[in-house]
Amino acid sequence: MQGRRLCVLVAILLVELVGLGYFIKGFFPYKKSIPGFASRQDQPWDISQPLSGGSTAANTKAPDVEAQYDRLVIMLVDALRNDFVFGNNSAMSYTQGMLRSGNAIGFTAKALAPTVTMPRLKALMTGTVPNFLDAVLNIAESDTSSSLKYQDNLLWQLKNHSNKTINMFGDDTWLRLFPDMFARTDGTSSFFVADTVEVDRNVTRHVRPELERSDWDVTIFHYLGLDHIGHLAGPNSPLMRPKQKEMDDVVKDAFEIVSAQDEERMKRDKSAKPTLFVLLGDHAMNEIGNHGGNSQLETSTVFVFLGQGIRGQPLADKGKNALSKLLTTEVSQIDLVPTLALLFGVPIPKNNLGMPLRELLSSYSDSERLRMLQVSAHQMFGVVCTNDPTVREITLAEAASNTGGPVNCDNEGESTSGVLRCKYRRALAAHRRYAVSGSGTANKVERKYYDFMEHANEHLSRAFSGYDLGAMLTGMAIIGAATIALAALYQSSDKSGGIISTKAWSLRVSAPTAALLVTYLVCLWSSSLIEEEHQFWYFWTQTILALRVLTSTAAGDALRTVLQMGLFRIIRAWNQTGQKWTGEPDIRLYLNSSHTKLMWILVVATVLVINVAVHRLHMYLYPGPTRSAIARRLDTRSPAYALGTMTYRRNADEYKRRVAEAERARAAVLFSGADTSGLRTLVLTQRVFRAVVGYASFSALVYQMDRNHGWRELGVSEGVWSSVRWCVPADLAQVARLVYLCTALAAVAGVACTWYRAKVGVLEHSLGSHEFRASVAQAAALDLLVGMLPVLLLLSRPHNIPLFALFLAMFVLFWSQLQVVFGPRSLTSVADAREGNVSDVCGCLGVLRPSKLVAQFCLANASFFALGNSNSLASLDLSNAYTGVSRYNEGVVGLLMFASNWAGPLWWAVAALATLTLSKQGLTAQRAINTLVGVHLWQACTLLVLSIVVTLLRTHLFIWSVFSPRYLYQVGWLVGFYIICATCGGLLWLAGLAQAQLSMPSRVSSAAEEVEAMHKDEQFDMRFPSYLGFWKRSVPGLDEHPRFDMYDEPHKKRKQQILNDHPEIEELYGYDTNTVWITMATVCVQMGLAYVFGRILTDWHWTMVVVAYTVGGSFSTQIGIIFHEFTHNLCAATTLQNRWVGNFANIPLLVPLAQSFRRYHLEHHTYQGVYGYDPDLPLEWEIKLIGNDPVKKFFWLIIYGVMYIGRGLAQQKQLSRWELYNWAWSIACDVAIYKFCGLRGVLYLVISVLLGFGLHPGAAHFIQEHYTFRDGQETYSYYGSGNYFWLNIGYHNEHHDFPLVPWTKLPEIKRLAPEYYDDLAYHTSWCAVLYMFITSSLLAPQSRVVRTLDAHRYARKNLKVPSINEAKQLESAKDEFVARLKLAADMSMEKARARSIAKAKQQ
Amino acid sequence: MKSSSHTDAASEGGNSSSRLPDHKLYPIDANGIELMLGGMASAMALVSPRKNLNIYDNPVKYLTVTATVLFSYYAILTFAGIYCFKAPTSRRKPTSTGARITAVIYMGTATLAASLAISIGLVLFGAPFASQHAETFMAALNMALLGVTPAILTLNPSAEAWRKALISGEPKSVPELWAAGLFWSTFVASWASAYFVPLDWDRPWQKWPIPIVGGAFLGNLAGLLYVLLRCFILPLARADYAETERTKRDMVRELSEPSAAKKEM
Repeated sequence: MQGRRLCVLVAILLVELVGLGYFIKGFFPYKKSIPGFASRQDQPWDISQPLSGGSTAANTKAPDVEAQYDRLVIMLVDALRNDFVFGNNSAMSYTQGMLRSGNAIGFTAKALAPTVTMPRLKALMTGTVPNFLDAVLNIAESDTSSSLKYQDNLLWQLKNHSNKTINMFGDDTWLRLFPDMFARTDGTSSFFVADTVEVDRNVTRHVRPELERSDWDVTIFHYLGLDHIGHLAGPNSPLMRPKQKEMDDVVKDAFEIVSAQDEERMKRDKSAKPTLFVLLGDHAMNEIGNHGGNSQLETSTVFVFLGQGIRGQPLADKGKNALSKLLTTEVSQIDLVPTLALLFGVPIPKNNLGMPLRELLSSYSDSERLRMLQVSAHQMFGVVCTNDPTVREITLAEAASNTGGPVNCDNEGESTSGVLRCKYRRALAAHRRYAVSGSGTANKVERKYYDFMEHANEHLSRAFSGYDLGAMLTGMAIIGAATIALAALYQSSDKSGGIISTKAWSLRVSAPTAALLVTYLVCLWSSSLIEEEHQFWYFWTQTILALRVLTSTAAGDALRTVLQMGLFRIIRAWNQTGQKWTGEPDIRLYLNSSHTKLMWILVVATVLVINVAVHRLHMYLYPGPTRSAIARRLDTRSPAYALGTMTYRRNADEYKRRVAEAERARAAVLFSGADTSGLRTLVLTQRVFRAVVGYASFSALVYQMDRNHGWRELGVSEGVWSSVRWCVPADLAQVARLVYLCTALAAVAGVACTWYRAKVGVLEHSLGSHEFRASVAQAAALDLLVGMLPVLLLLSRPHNIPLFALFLAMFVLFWSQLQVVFGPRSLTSVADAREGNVSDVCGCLGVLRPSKLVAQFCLANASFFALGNSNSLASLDLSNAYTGVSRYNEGVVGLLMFASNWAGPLWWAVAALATLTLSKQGLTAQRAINTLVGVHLWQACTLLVLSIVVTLLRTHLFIWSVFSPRYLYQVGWLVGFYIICATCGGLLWLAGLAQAQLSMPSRVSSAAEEVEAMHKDEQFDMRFPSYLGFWKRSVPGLDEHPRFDMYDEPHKKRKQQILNDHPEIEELYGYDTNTVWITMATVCVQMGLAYVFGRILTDWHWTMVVVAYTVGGSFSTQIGIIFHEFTHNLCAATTLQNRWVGNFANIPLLVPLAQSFRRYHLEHHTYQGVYGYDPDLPLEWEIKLIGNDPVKKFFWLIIYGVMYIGRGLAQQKQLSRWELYNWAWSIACDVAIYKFCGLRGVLYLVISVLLGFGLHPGAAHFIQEHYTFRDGQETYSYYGSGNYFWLNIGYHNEHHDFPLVPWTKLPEIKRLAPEYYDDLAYHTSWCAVLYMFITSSLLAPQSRVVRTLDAHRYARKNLKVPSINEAKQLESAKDEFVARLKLAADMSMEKARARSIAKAKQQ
Repeated sequence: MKSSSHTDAASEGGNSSSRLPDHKLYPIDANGIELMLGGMASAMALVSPRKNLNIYDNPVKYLTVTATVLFSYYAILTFAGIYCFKAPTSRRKPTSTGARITAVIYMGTATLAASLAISIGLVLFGAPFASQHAETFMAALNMALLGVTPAILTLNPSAEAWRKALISGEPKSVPELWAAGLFWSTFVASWASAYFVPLDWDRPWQKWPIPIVGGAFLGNLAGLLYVLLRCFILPLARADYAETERTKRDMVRELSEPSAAKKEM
């Protein structure tokens, strides 16, 4: 079964590879270029010449501008950054001197990504925008398909159109690019990055002899040393300045030689022309010395032109920074092509997109220069035409017409090509006018030509990317199909039947893993998150570890994981990569610059740790019957051991005897039944293994020390060092090969160990309390884990070596005790055993616990970046790819390059394999394949999403600098890492997503049951003594009107009842002058805020609204409550005083409300709930209009304050005297406020009032008080925190019972008579009141209890408690009232009831 | 006022209502919620980004102000003993001033400890280690005030109570939901907002620690809405639902057997 699944997996992967191939074919096409070579016949007719009969043939014969130079020396210094020449820290004093004196012209030449040598050379010689594939082929040295043999280029033109003899010395890339081009050559390979001296010496030795000969016309020198220094040690390396000096000397030598020659030649031959000397760089380097990407530093390289006729601006300033201006004088690198072609009088290569450099044409006359620009523009227009076949050629007649042509081209609603054609025509017309009639200046014409060329360049460089969309879509479809198949395979298991099954719907991924995958796939869409992918992995590794901390069940477990997080924080600070923080200081910088000694100490420590780890590992695995091993393995609780340690110092012999005794006893227990002879052999092979690994790691250390002079940094003298390293060969390459050899030997020894372990059998014993089982697979995996370390050390940069010790420590910390490496005790841990039972311990949060495999999967990805890699081609480390290789060999170098760049992921992959074997379940075929499928599924998802991303974003600005490199890296991960390492390496690659399935326990109680349990029916069957009614609430939809009650309001009767029991409450009657002070404070706050917003913070708009709602609204509603106090004369002694308190409080409300409120509120108390008399009741039309619609209720609440005014008006009463006073007072106050606070102040107060009395907690008491939330209860109290601010307005039952008690004493009533109030329903939240009112289907404006005046009066008469019979009579009398008032239920109500009954029955 | 009893929907259920009559209208005690909302809104309104108090220019000063506002808000609620939910051990309202001050001090100390732990966490997750300590600490302090202080005020000071409330999957009481909701919303949002840090948008708010704190504030706000829904509104809605059902049932019964209903009455 598992075998079949494996076959299916392999088949799917093959299909995926096919899809990948298709996609790559479509996404990275070879660029199409115009075939053929430019010739003089292609030159345009000189527009300044008279039109001779319109014959083209005749016109092309017109004499061309003469060449200005005969000979050319190109000195190309690889990775020459602009500040190496122009900067104030440069050692190139000769070149700087020439630039200062004006004998040379310098530019910062901008290179385009990819900034690697071969595409740059292509660009420099053809003038084209490079193909991204070149970047890849640049690495594969043997590729010849990218040669420029059949593409028009500058060298071909020089050779064929002016018969130059071309020599080349230096980087052999030139030889591959230009086969058969050069007369004499000496190529050097550019890939021995470690060499910084010999490569350049190889070139320099040709300079003098070659230049002194007379049989050359063009000579090219390509120096590599500077680039190698950058790769090895960065731009700030101490080697850098001497190298610059060396380059400067070459410039001086070469230029002096050719100058002397020129003088002689020109004396001899009057027609001879001078020599042009060009110093340039192909690309630059970033702050750590790498290149390939698109950053400012990598693209800023140099042009320096020297020679007769070159005249720049001499600089008066001789200071160090004099040349800094040149750092920002930017031209494009490809401008070299047309410039040189024009200067040497050869046709411009056909595909060129560069523009001639203005400064170098300055020695020509105006007409000559314009002619040159015409030639150049003509060539570029040719490219435009090829690119867009719809563009018409410009006919001679059109060009020569005197009508002037278009003046402004930008406004035409045409295609870009059309605009370009127009610009070209405009320039030609201006040129023609200038030549024929002398109108305008040459400068203007020139500007028009440049305008055209700049636009053409910009447009063409963008348009030059031919994707094969069909192939891409095909590839994508295949990858998609493979992904789906993998997903189905991942879902399937033995139990579900088929190999690929869709039956298992429950997802076999844990929550963190799913989140990780989804987040990752989303992040692939962002260019910055691709550039900063390391941040993603660092962040997620910590997240996974943090989740493990949170969900851990044992304190020790949590502590170890926290320790891991700490270690990982150090790891993450080691190498700063990416784009955004790439220059930030990191540990690498610290170790490389100021603390090299510390670095080497750490390196040595790492090697020691590795050896200790190997030793400990074997001690633990199969200790063999040796004394020391057995002694360590002794159970600490064994008496012999305890005694031994105690007596050791006193009696060594006794100790030894006891240990030997214990050893024998132990061996008898440990290896009873085991093949002891096999065991001895096993112990021997393990020893061999350890020795070989130890020797390999020592050799790797020697290699690193020797190569980077680490021993010197450590202060070891040469003699000591040579004696230390006597046991390894002297030649470094041989040392490296020795490491490879030893690793191979260790592999053999490891296999032998495994063989003997299998023969000896599983070692089974118990240590302490838990069972222990070391399987052969575990041992093999752990051997592999430590055995591969020497090679990884060898292939790493020295500052990265300590990282492996940290990795090892992190791995060890995954186990509950440090026994694997640092202690000899039990391996399969308590925590590990517990891990399987997490769901039992941790509840359903177990699904949140990421497995060790997920953590290690994150670590594998993170470690790639932690070693200094990134998703930029620039960070691809080539320096270690040639370790121990003497001749270029694609396969070997590729393998080494992969191993050196992917060292971290490789190690963690094996660590994950070990984890798989070490876990409680052990390594079964099913788990292995599941893990494998999971990892491949991850890769397939990533590849699929990335394919979609690059397809959709194929015109994105960053497609070449960010997304394409990311795609290449993805292919690297996929092909290199997973397919080779995993599938081909058998089951070694097992890290990843396999995750214990933790099922969520089903919730026991259902929601319905909970609700049932929460609410039990409450029945109020008697009004006495709490005076709760018998009525049911009016339910919207069932009832049309408020509920009619046959009783009076309950408060008066309840008051009597309470006073009977608690006469002391009467002592609380009175007034509280504190209210006055509160009133003053409130008014002051509101007026102050009005002033602040009206006069000071006049630009705070939304803040004013928010403050008006929160603060202003609260105070406004508080004023409403002060009204309530004065209404009941509770603020001061006399009514008059109280009325004035009200008037005073009225000020911030602006509208005269106080006295009206008093009037209507007192009526409310007298006629509570009496229909037509109580102004607190909603009007009939309100009830009808609002109904039970939540939205309407919402808006109704917002204008609830306004509704009160309407209800007052509905009473149609005359204005009282005090109301009139109130009006006058308010208007006077309003005017004063307007004067004092301004319009915005008034506005603030208005908003406060409107919002405060709207949907505001402070206004919720209007709803809380009398809306029927319960059957039978008419008035509700609110006991919540709002009472602190809103003057106990919540104590509404108490207030209605005892209106003469001031607010401060209301809680006292409840305290004194708890038996009356504790049984009443109350609110605890005003917000909840508002929410309930809006959302509840049981609450609407009709949720009131009303009574007729008759009923009220009738009930008022008998203050005694009615008997049940009386109550029933009243209940039946209710219907008569209803009929009499014509508000009774009608047919529709009956229908509604019938409907609801039917519905209820259905349910 | 009744002592605030925590009606645990899942565990207590029927017992509580049969034991004592349901005095309250709702299964929950929403005491303090008004002040809480008001405090939040006022704090946001008053500490809006302004010229003289700008998070972009001086995050430390800004965060100090927000932390002060938040802290004094919690201090007032703690002192008055009116925080929405209170830890069961301090269920009884502190009566003496000394006890109230002790409660405030406990709240402050625990918050400070939490903010130190969060600072370490921030550094582990990638905050600058060697620089910007003030920024990191103030961010942590704000996060602690937003996410942890509600738990400090709501949960018992025992590891077991915290584990049950915050990371276990066991059924939770309403106060535990309250604490866990604010805790997780604050930290998850803060975690998620870290994705804005590496983007190349070059906005002033991408500066450390603005995205983290901003995420914490927004997440806390969203979490507040969620816990309001979960702890207050949902129980209300359930109560409403149950009541509606019951009313209908009563009505049906009344209509179908009027005589029986009358008799019962």
